[in-house]
Amino acid sequence: MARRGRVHGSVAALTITVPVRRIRRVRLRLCSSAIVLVILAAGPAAAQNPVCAAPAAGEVLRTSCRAWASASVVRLLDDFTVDHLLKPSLPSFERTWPQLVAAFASRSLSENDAFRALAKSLEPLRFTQLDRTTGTVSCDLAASPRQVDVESVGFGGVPASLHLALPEVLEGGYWRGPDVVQIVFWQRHRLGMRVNLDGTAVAQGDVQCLSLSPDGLLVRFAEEGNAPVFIKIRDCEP
Amino acid sequence: MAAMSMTIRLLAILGATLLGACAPAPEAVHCRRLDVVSMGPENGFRTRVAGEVQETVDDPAGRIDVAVTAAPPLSGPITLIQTVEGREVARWDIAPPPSAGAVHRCSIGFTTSDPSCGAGVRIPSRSHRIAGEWSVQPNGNRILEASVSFHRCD
Repeated sequence: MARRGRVHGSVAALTITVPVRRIRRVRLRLCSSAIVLVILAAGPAAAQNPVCAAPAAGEVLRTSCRAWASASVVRLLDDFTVDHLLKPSLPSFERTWPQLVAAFASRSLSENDAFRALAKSLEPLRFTQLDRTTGTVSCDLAASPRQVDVESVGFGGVPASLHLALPEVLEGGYWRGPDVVQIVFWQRHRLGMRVNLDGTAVAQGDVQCLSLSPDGLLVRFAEEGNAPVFIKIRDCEP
Repeated sequence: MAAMSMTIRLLAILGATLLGACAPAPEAVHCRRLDVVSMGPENGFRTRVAGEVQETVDDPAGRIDVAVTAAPPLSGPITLIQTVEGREVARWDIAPPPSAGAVHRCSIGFTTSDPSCGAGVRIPSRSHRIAGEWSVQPNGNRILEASVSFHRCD
């Protein structure tokens, strides 16, 4: 199968250009099961660059530690690689919000019946492959409220409040490697959030970029001066 | 209405889990991860860190993480090579530990106390410049892609 054409997705931090690509099918054996794989074959396309800015020396981040989430995050990344790179003839795949959150959530939460029931109320995120390293992501939130305020979320017993501003469609592009997934959200298609802890904002802004690796999850906001949030998974003590 | 209520409750849970059980505290970055273009068939399993990048990986906390997507099991070591202006400056024959999935990971540090890439695999100098061309040789393994990321600590 061959597909030809040019696909462009552009935002300040990302320009995706896929001039021409060819896809060829190969068969590989993975985990003792024969799986038909699709490998993006060599062509004139160049591998794309990361889309999230790496932390700068001395940059201040809002940091917390979830060292116990390491295995689940690695599994999330591995599954993403398999779906993006290895699944045959399927240019797109989905992740539900609980699947994404579960990597960081406690077992008690993941196994909570109420949580699992609630999870069905949000549309899943759809990831569509552009080439070996990039794709687009979208989530239809039109049926969800535009503004959400929740009181008493609670962090370690300290009262907290959460404000969310939802776009009608959450949309952006992603860049990936075997060990990392980075998502940049388009302007006007970003999730806005503000977390107040004991009356003080500890995280706020429009989520501009997410970078997930075995080291942790880095959340960058669109507004300059809003400190990014970094949930450490490796090299930290909870 | 019920659906909206459920959505709000779910988002509250999402917000709480995103930020963790402990509130995030401001902290100046000590160690930073730098991701670069991964290596695959379209770039001949080569990637380049621009020569003007002066970044180094330094002893003792710095490291180079290697991730390889390949059909298991690996039949032998994979060779990672760094060259600068055509001159080879580092070469590692890495043997990642067995992986349950398609992605194999290991870390190259300054000592061999954590031999996740195989015995004797370490960064040769105490301050290793990362600029140059990086490439992998599959050595008979069925590699689909590979990446290196650099962990620099101030």
